[in-house]
Amino acid sequence: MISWLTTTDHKRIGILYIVWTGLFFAIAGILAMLIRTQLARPDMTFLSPHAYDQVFTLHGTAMIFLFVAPFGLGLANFLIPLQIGAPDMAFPRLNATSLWLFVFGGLTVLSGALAAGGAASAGWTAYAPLSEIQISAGAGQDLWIVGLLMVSVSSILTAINIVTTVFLLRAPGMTMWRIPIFSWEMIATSLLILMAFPPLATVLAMLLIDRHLGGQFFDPQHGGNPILYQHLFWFFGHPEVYVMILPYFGVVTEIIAVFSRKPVFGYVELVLSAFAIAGLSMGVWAHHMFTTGAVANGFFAGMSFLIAVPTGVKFFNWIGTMWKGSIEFATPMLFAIGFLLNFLIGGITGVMVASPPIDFHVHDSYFLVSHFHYVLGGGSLFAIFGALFFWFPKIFGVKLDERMGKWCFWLMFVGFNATFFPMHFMGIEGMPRRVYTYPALGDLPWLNMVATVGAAIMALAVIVFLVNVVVSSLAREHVGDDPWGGYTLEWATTSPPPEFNFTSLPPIRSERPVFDLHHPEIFEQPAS
Amino acid sequence: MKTFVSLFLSSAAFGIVIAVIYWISSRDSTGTLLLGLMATGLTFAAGYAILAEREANLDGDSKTVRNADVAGEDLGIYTSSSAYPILMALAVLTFLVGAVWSPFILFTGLLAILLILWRLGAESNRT
Repeated sequence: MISWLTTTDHKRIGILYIVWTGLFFAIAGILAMLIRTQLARPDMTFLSPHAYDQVFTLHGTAMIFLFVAPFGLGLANFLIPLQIGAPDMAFPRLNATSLWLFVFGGLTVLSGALAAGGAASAGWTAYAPLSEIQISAGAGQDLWIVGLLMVSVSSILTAINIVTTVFLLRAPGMTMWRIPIFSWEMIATSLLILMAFPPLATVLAMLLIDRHLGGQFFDPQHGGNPILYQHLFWFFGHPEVYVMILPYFGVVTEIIAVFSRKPVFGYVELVLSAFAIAGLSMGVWAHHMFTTGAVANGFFAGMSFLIAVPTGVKFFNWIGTMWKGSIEFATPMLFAIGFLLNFLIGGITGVMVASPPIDFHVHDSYFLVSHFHYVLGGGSLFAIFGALFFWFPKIFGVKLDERMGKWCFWLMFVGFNATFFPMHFMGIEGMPRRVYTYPALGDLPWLNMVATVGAAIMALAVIVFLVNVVVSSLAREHVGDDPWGGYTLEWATTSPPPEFNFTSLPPIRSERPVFDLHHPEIFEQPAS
Repeated sequence: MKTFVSLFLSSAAFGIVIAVIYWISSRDSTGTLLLGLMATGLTFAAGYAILAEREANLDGDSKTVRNADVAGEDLGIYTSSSAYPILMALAVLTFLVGAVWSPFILFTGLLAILLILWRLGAESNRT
C-alpha cells in the first residue's frame, strides 16, 4: 500500500490514474443515471431543482475534468516511455506530484456534496455571475474552484513531463518520425494543455478573488465584465475538447492498424492533422459565445469550419488503413469502429452548430447535449474502452474475455445511441438543457423515456465490463507478451513490463519496430 | 531535435498570424491579448528550442545508430519511490483551502510547500 502511495514508476502512476479516473467515471455515471431518472417522464419530482443543478454540475465536471481528459494522461503515463523505449518519464517525482494533485483535486471537487448548501450548482462552466458569491454562496462552489485549480496545475505539470520525455528520452534509432501515432497525439495534446490550462487556472483564481478577496473582475456594477469570464473560460474550454479527443485519435489509430494487419496509412498526414487540429482549436473559443452578440461570429465560424478539414484527413487515413486489410473484429477493433461511427455524427453536428444561424436556433438546447456527448461519449468513451481491452494484457498480463467484451461493446453501442440520438430531436423541439423538468408536449415524453432506457443499457454495459475484469483477472490465463500481434515497442517487452521497462531493445528501423523484429526479411538485401 | 525546433517555430508563427488576423477581423482587445500571449509564449519556447538544438546530440535522433553503439551509456538515475510528491499535493491542497477559509491554514500550507521543496531538492541531489 505504502509503495503505491510513494511510487514514482510511470507504469504504477499510469495504473493509479486509470483506477482513479475509473472511480470518478463510476460516480459521474451514477449521477448521469440520476439525471435520466428525473427526466424519464415529464413533471417528475425524483430530484428537487437545486439537487438537479448540483447533480448535472458534478456529472459534467467529473466526466470532463476527472475522467475523459485525465484518462488520456494516465494512459500516456503508462505507454509513452514504453512506446519510445525510455526507462521512465523524464521527471518521475513531478509525475507522481501531478497524479496526487489530480486525485486530491478531484476528491475536493466531489467533497462539495457534503458541504452545507450542497455541491457546486453553476454547471461545469461555472459562468459568472452565476458562480459568484452573491448567487452561489455555499462552500461547494469554493471546493469546486479549489479542486479544479489543483487539477489544472496537475495537467500542466504532466504536459511538461510528456513533451520533455518524448523529445529527450527516445531510444537509439527512435527518431521523431518513427514514434507511434499515440505518442505524437500526446505531444499535440500536451502543447494544447500548456497553452489552454493557464487561462483556466487564471480564471479560477480570479473567481476565487471575486468571491473572497473583494475582487470585481466579473461584476459589471463595479466595472467588471462577465463576458471576460466567458472569454477566459472558453479560451481553455474549446482546446480542452481536443485535449479530450486527440489522445483517443491516437488510440484508435493504433488499434485500427493492428487489427487491419496493415501499417498506418498516411503516418505523416495523421501527425500533421493532429497539429492542425490543435492549432486551429486555439482560435475557435468564442463559437461557444455566438449568442452573446459580443464576439466576431464570422471569424469563429470560419475557424470552426476549418477544423473539419484535418479531422476529415484523419477519417480518410483510418479508412485507408482498413482498406483491403485483413480485418479482425476483436473487441478493441469493435470499439474503434464504434468510435468512428459515433464521432462522425458528433463531428457533423459540430459543423452544423459552428454555423451561427443554426447555433442561434439550438443553443443551450438538447441538440447541443447530443452533439457533445457524441464527441466525448461516442468518441472518447468508446476509445477508452477500446484502449482498456487492447492494452489490458500489457498492463496487467491478463487478457479480458472476448465474449463478454463483445457483449459490452454491443450493449454500449445500442445504449449510447438510444440515449443520445433522440436528444437531437428533443433539442429541435425546444427542450432546454440544465432544466430539471419539461412539459408533456409533442414528442418529448417518449423521446426522454427512450433516452433513459438507453442510459440503463449503457450502465449494464459498464457492469458487464467490470464483471469481465474480475472474472478474467481471477482466471489469469497467460496470453504471452504480445497477444494481438502489436507493432509498437511496448509489445516487445514482458507483460506486465519490468521495472525500467526493457531488459533489451530490438533495433528500431521504422515506426513498427516489433513488426520488423518478427519479419527481419524486410531488411535483408536481395541477392544480386 | 530539428523536428522539435520546427514544431515550436511553426506553432509560434501560427500564433502570431492568427492573432493578427483576429485583430484585423474583430478589433477585440481581449481575444487579441489572449492570442498574443499564446504567440509570445510559443516564441519563447521556439527560441529556447533553437538554443537547445545547438548543443543536443541525441541517440534518438539518429536513423542509423544501433543499440550496441550506445551500450553502457549512462541513462541517468530514475528514482522508483518518494514520499514527497503525495505530501506536496496535500500541502498545495492545504494552501488553497486556506486561501478560501483561513490565513492560518494558508500559511501552514505555504510553509509545508517550502519545506517539501527543500527536502525534495535534497533528495533529488542524492539520487
